[in-house]
Amino acid sequence: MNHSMKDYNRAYQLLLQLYDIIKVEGKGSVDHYINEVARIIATIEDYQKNNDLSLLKDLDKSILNLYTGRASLDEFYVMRDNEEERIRLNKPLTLIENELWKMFS
Amino acid sequence: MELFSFYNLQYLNDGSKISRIQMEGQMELSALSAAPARIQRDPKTGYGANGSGNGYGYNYGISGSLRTTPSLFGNLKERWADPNTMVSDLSTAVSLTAFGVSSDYKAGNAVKTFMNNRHTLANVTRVSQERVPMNLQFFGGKGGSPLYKYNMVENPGPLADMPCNPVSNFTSGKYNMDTLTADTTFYRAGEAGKPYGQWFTSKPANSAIQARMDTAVKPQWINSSTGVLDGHSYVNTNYAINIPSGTTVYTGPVGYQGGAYLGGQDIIQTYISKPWDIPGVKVINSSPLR
Repeated sequence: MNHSMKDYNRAYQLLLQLYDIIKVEGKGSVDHYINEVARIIATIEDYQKNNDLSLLKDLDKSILNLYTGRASLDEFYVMRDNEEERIRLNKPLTLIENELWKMFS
Repeated sequence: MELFSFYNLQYLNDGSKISRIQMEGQMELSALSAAPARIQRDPKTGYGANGSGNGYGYNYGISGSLRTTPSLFGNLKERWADPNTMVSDLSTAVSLTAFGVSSDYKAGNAVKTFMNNRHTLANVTRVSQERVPMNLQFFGGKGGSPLYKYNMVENPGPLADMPCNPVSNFTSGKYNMDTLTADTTFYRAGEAGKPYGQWFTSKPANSAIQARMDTAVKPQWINSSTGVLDGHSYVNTNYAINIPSGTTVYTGPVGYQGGAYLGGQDIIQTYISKPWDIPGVKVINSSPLR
């Protein structure tokens, strides 16, 4: 664990947003990441309840592993033919990725 | 901007090994000057052509024509054909990069050194051939600029700060950054119904297998840290995508991804970050790819 609890709380909020998007839009294409995001969220919740620091071991790495390049969440987007709608729906994904990456890389 | 594919050739001359080009992108200057190797014609680009006939064996040294894109390297027309007729009017310097250390190297001198080390061609037999990646870069005139402004070792550049480290998908992390001054069509091979991606080429792929091998797109991506299958890359559709003027693009040689997914110095790809977020990005055409 190299980060403050504030960081993990922020990451928790971002991951909840991410999960809400990918569980709807990514089913069938990024199932592995849907499960992984859910696992990370559950881990942070466990820590918040039990204050067990060991739960945070490797959490940074797990978060970064969501974005490992091709076929990862880095390449995931919500497909819409309408450009305006597509950009509106995908901007949050990009912002979440950028903030998580900046925080944990 | 093309770089040569290079073949590591070993020859026997009267039973003795003459010399060889070292592997893995390293190439000694002394070996370059004396190596019984030749630049091969790239069947797709025509670069590195030579007119010596059957391909192997009787040309000696670096042979063939060195040609690159005329707009960038108009002066680079020297022909190293038969050593007996070799002439040198090359005004363009060649740079050899080995493990991030660059050395300027004048091709004219190479010819001279090569001729001094000339061997008889009798009984020369090719004993092995292996394609090797090679960091041979061509400069646009003496003291000119290198092909790629950024590289992993000396100057990783702006891609190093981006999520997912896209710089690692370029050979040796070499790339240039440009801003498009006009709407430009790029191509990508991908999955039906999912036209957008971040990696493009300037020409459409001829087949799915070509797209996979040339641009190093594996069918499955295993996370090297966890060993877990991260996802799949399906390749069954060619897309032509309009990228609008003003977009920042990053261009460089395709990095090797293991196995048959070669990529290579002579295959150029373009990275565009999150094109699905960019206004004006449009799918111009799509067609099935087999």
